[in-house]
Amino acid sequence: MIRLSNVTKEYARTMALDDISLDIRDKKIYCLLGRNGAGKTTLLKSIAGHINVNVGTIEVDGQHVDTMKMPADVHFIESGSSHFNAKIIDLINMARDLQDDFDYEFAKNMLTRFKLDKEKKYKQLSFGMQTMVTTLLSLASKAKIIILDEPVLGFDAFMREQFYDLLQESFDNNPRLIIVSTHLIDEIAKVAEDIIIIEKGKILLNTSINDIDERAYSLTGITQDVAPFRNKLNVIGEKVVGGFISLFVFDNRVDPPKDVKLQPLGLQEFFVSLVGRND
Amino acid sequence: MKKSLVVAKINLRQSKLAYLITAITCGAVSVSLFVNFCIGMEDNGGVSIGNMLFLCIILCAVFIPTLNFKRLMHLNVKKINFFYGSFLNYILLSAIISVLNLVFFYTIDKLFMTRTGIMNLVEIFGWINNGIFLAFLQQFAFLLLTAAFIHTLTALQSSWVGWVTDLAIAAILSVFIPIAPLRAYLVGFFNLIIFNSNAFAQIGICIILSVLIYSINLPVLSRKRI
Repeated sequence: MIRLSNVTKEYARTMALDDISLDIRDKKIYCLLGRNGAGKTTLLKSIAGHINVNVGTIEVDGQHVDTMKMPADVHFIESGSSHFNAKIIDLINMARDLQDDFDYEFAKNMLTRFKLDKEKKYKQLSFGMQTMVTTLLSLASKAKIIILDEPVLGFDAFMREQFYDLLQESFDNNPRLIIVSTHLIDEIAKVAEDIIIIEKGKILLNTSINDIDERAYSLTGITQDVAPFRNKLNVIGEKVVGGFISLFVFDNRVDPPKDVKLQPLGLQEFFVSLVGRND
Repeated sequence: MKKSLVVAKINLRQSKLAYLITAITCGAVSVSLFVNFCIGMEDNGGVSIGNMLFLCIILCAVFIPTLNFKRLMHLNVKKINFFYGSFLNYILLSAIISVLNLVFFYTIDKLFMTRTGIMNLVEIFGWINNGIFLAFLQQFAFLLLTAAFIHTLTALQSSWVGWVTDLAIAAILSVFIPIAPLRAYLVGFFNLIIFNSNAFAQIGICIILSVLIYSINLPVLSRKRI
């Protein structure tokens, strides 16, 4: 569905996207991870045709994408999106009138479920609630591709749980390609199937969460026991505590000697190690 | 087309700031008019309240491309629907304001004219001499041209082309006005779009120019970042 070929985007000597090639095909929930300034928003806006790239091509469903040809099947929403200061119900009505097959019932149900006062005006809502309305508007659209840029920004833990439920429910009702950019990797892993990690404008990793679960682990032991694994495996980080060393590995599982402890690596630790390695 | 109509409807409903500023201005002019009427200052002059309504379409032409554009894009509106929808807005607003101004001219202006000396632009521009229907069309065409020009100029400001256009307009005005032969060209242009003795020519020129100027928005919009 989405194909990027050698895409480069530069802002006044800052390389936001650096020769990226990427294929995203299946109807899944994808998580786009990256540190601040890694190029997440630029990548997502380029796919939506909100900005142009300097080099390379972007295609959605085989159609070339740029600001002149924004793909109709992509709905891009960023946190802090500006909306008319109208009643929430009026915003939903506007979206229904403007979009083919807008799921009005889904939107209204979600309003009730998240206890959003439909008579309140958009600017009367807290930042988190505004983002929830924005997300709700995009998920109720029948666009084939939904892109959410930092949708949980400003959400408390309770709202984030509600958001993940909303995302999952929307996907179950209408399976499609959803890309969510976030920093909260452990939370999004509950609903996302695939993960794309971007750092300094380059794609570091594009794989499934299951793959990370299977292949990301740590080996901990005394230095002379663990050190031999350094050259045999794809070590993405290491930590020394006292006389012990922990190697963070992203590779096929090994059968370690009994003095070396193998433990699965949490997604957060995996991400930090992978990205930190490139510093 | 249906989506463009929805865009036009949303733009009309969400231009409250333009309506508010226009209402305040009309209110202020009404107070001044009433004071002039009470003290009978027929030499004071001034323009009609109906002409203050022109402010509404000018403000809409500024706010629609600056404020409403991004908000509509976040509702997943296509740029082409925004393009047609906004033009529909200006057609509708031009028609409504033209009618309202004529209503003002034939009611309040007539009533107050002798004691306040107010003038209406339909009179100053000589449009009313062609009869009420042609006056409506002449005013409509002129307002449409004004809205198309302001919308386009505002939309252009997001790129360097806009700044170059601003400089070009400023340069043309400052060079053409003081030099008599060049000034004649400017006068000729305004005679074509405002003071034209041939009402049909004025209407035709204004509408053609509106469409031509507004169509500049197509390439501008297609390159516009969100």
